[in-house]
Amino acid sequence: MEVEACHLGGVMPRSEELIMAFRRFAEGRETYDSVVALARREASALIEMQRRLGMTYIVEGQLLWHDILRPFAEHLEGVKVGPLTRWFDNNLFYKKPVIVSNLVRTTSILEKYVFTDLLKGVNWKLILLEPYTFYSLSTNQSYSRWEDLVLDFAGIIVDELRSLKDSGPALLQLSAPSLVEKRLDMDRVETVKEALRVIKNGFGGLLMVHLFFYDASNAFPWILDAPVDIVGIDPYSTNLERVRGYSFEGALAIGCIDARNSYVESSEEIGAILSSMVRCVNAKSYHLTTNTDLEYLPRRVADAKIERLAAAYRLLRGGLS
Amino acid sequence: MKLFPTQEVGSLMRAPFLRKRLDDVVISEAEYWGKMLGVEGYEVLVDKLRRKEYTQEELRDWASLYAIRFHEAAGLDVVWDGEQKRIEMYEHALRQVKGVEFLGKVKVWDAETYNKAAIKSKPQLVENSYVPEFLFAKRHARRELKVPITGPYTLSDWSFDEYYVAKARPSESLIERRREARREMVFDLAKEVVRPVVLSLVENGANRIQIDEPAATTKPGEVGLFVEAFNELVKGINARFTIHICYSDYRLLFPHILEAKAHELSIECANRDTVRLGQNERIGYEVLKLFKEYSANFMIAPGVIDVHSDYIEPPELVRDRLLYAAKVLDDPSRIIACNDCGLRTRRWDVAFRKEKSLVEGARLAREAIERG
Repeated sequence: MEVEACHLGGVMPRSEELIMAFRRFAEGRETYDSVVALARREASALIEMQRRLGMTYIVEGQLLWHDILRPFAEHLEGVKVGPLTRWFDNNLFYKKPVIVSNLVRTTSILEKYVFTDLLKGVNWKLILLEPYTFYSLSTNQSYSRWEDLVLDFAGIIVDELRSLKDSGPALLQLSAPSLVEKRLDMDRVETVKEALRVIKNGFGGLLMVHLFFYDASNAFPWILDAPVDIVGIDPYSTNLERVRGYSFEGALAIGCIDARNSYVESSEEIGAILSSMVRCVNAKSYHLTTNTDLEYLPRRVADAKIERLAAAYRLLRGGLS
Repeated sequence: MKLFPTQEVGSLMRAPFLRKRLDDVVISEAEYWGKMLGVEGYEVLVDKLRRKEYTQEELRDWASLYAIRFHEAAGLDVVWDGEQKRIEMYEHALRQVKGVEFLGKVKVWDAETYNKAAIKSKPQLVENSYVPEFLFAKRHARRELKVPITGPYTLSDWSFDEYYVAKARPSESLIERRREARREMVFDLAKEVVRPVVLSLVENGANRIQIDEPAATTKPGEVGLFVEAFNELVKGINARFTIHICYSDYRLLFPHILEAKAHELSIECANRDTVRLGQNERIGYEVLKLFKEYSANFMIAPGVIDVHSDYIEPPELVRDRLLYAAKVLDDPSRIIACNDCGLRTRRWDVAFRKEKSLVEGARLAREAIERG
């Protein structure tokens, strides 16, 4: 059993300084360029911190993203930015995309939101929304077949990744709470798998689906046969008894750090969570990660959790029995 | 009993003179509102503002008085001071509690954040600003008062837990550990923080309390816990209790909400409604059918004024919304006329016109029922 990698499971919180800069921008008292400059400095520091800590894949924090749907809601043709809507069961809200006509990509979106120039020569990780989750969090007023919306969004992800060319990520995480919020029927599962296949075939790097907020067993066993390299599990929401005995030919990323609570887990606690998961699901290898985005935390708490995750990784790397 | 009694829901934008910059414009506003609302002795405040001879405490008292007169002048039956002496509903409540530490800002959406606290040890109420706040309002109010207090479920849901989750036995599953920790945290906040506040208010003469629980449906599996905690905090207390829940999926409240020992449930509806006149179909009030279907026995206060828009609802629209709600519940005596939520985000001129419309619309609805 090998713990072969460690990486963060989602979008990072902004510092209070950056939050205030965004507020001033919203009030017309700051230019967007100066907000971007500040975000860039913070992204750079975050990348350096992860390097120093020995993270296997590095995130740039996605600090310019108001929510994980917004760049697509704002820049895809056929989508309007809709009402504020609760993000699953959190005191956090996103603006619901309203699909008014079929999706068309007319501009390169990620290059406006990701500091790819800071990531040259770095094994970096990008976090996007899994296509079925994008569909289920949107209001569809256009597609007569929802499956077409899911597959079109998968195609747009591929086009975006291709547009990054050599500066693209080594690992793409698709955040996918809607795959586990409840158990999907097999027709839906087949469409989800097809969308994952489109992305896997169009993207040369590692593909991860991160299942959080809800019990990962709701996607078992089909997710283990899906065309993905890594499956992320939220042990704070998953009943281990329901996943016991399964095997996976890829890697399992265990979200040992609870990114929705400020309690900082000890290395021993992280090790215990990992061990209990390893005893349940046999995988080719294991990754350490956070159970979801870190943006639920104040920045300094998030930093403390990252340090602890990295410390646990140093202890557990390659040595899990 | 009067049909369609009118109430406010809690907050009001801070009085002009509580703003950071006290310039001539602000002083003029203080003078204008003081005169318009009939605030006794407002000239004293204006004079103090001009001479810059005041304390912050004095200004907060004046703000409280202005806000009470604001609601009274609009004609509301039940009033409050617009929470002029509070920071906001979450931080204000937990600043008075031992065992809590504020950790910093977290995002709610876009650049909107709040200062989020962690529960570090068993919470205990150590200060109680609610009693002097209430006593001041009681001394000055000419109408009945309703005191808003943030409920234990919302305080818990909006906080981190570093105490309960850490003391849970490590052998338990993480899900079970979290569930038990959550339950204990909510009940401690109910018993050790919110209930002592409510008891002290009632001992000092408060007889209407509003428990604000905007987080009640955030976690669908915990709606029962929210109701249990509410019942625990009001157990044996002789007062009239309103639960206020806004911007939520109200379907998730059922059936648990039927067990709540509340007299009134205040919900937001206007925000979801159209502004077309008519009493036959009102999309924002469809949810009331559930209350009828489940034979809910408390009074309902459906919001008939949208607090997130400067649009001034005409009294006729308020009337139609109230009459439609009465028709759905098949009982006009169970409907209270109020706003969707507090008017904290509206300017005073907008808020005042909205409240006047609420009162006039309720009068029109009353007349329509009485005419048969």
